Amino acid sequence: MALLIENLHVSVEDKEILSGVNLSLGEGEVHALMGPNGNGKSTLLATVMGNPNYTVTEGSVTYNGEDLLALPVNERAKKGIFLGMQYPPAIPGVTNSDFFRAAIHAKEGKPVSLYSFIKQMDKATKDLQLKPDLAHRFLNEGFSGGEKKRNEIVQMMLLKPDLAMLDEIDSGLDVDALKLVADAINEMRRNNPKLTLIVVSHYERFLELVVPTHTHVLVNGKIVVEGGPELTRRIDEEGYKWIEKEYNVTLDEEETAKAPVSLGSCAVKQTRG
Amino acid sequence: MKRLVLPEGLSRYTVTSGLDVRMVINQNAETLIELNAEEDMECTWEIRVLSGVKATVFFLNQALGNVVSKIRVYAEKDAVLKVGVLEFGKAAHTLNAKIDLEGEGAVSEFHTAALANARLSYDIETEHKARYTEGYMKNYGLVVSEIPWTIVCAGKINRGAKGSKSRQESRILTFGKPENIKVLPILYIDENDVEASHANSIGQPEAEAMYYMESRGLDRKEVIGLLSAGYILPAADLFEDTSMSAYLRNLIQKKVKEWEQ
Ligand SMILES: Nc1ncnc2c1ncn2[C@@H]1O[C@H](COP(=O)(O)OP(=O)(O)OP(=O)(O)O)[C@@H](O)[C@H]1O
Ligand SMILES: [Mg+2]
Repeated sequence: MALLIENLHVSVEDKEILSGVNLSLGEGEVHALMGPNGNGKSTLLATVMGNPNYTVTEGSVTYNGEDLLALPVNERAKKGIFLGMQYPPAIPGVTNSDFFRAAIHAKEGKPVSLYSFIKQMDKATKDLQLKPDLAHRFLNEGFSGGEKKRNEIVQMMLLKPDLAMLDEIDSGLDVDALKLVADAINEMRRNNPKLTLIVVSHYERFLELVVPTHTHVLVNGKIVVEGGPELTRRIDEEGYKWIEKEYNVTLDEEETAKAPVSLGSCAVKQTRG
Repeated sequence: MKRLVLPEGLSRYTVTSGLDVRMVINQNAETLIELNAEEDMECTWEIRVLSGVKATVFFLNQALGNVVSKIRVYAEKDAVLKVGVLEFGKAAHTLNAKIDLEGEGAVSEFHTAALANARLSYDIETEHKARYTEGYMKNYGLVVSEIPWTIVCAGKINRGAKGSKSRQESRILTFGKPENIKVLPILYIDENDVEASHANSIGQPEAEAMYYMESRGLDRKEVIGLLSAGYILPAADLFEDTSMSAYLRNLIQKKVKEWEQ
């Protein structure tokens, strides 16, 4: 197993967000993580990355057999873990290129030559059809929503991770950009068969281009349904309402808009897997 | 008192003990003045930029002793003057600067940048005495420990100086307690038809930015190093001479790296 998550409980400011997540990812697999808004998808990825806002109260996360929770954020990155964030922050004063070079240096343990850096940067900006002045601009500062997402993929291309977690990388992308991003991801997979992916997305369109080997649905801090690509298709067509009935879980009302049906006081029940 | 007429183009001076200098700039010129004293010193600089002249006077403080600087600037009609102060000193620097924009259309930029290792105390004032003058004051820096840094920064637009602009900005990143850094922006305006603004941001690096950069493999010090380079590097661009900007940029990178060790 590349990544093994067992009985993971996570809190933010004493509020439990994840309540016993189990997930195992084999090398080279693509796992789609779906679920209604506010159910803990980003929290799960942030916890794997080591975001200090999230406190693990129980459970474990191991990466290639090593206890990931014992490592600081940057050491996790150096092990080959990458998180493409849902909301990448802007950092004025630091240029993209200075930041990228420092990151490659940190990851590879030696400085990257200017020539090699420019070559890689050129390829990445061309592949993603970003403006060439991108390198000299401040990190994500004034970037459009779609540019920020593409800038995350540029960094993934430069850092060549073995485990990449992409949190709604498709949101904010136009149809053409979606294709470019998917192509770039698929090329990275071809170049690195070890590359394991967790892809959070609300849209079937993206998951048709980056086809998952496994699909998981996270509801109320637990994975309640697991399956293959057919699951993403069904969610796309029917939403999440059917999960309530078939898997005997309660979704918060706001999550199911059209489904004011309550299944009573029984909370989430563990599913198969 | 020493009289100094700057040569055209680029020049460079070193100061190792206290001085009283009167500088007249009558042609476009850029100069780097290195403060390299081992002991305490006090220097007075009177700088007159003649009409239509464009100049940069840049103080690079790497002194080991305490420094007291008094800078008095007079900018005549359409003169453009940039004053830089780059702090890598090991001891305190007390800086008192007064810029008089005397002639119509005169422009000044007073730009300080610091990788602060010791107490800094600034008192900077730009006075607009003529129409259409522009005065900019910028203080950028990184404070690496519990070091006090006070900045009193005043823009004064006199009656009759219509069409003038006064801007000040202080951006300081600190590792220590934010309350060690005191910035007091002051504006005196005695004319209606003017523009004036100030913006300050003082604080510790944002947690979200730290986490983002760490998630790409950088450790805390490397993150601070990159952030601070962003604060300090723009000072290097006060020179039009590209070799001098490159020299300063390298020096800044080197100092930040030294600090990261
Ligand atoms: N730093 C935080 N402080 C307070 N609450 C938080 C924090 N982070 C997450 N939460 C809460 O935890 C819950 C799960 O949030 P999370 O961002 O993981 O959801 P998500 O499944 O990614 O949703 P979306 O599909 O909208 O991105 C939400 O109720 C959210 O408000
Ligand atoms: Mg999310």
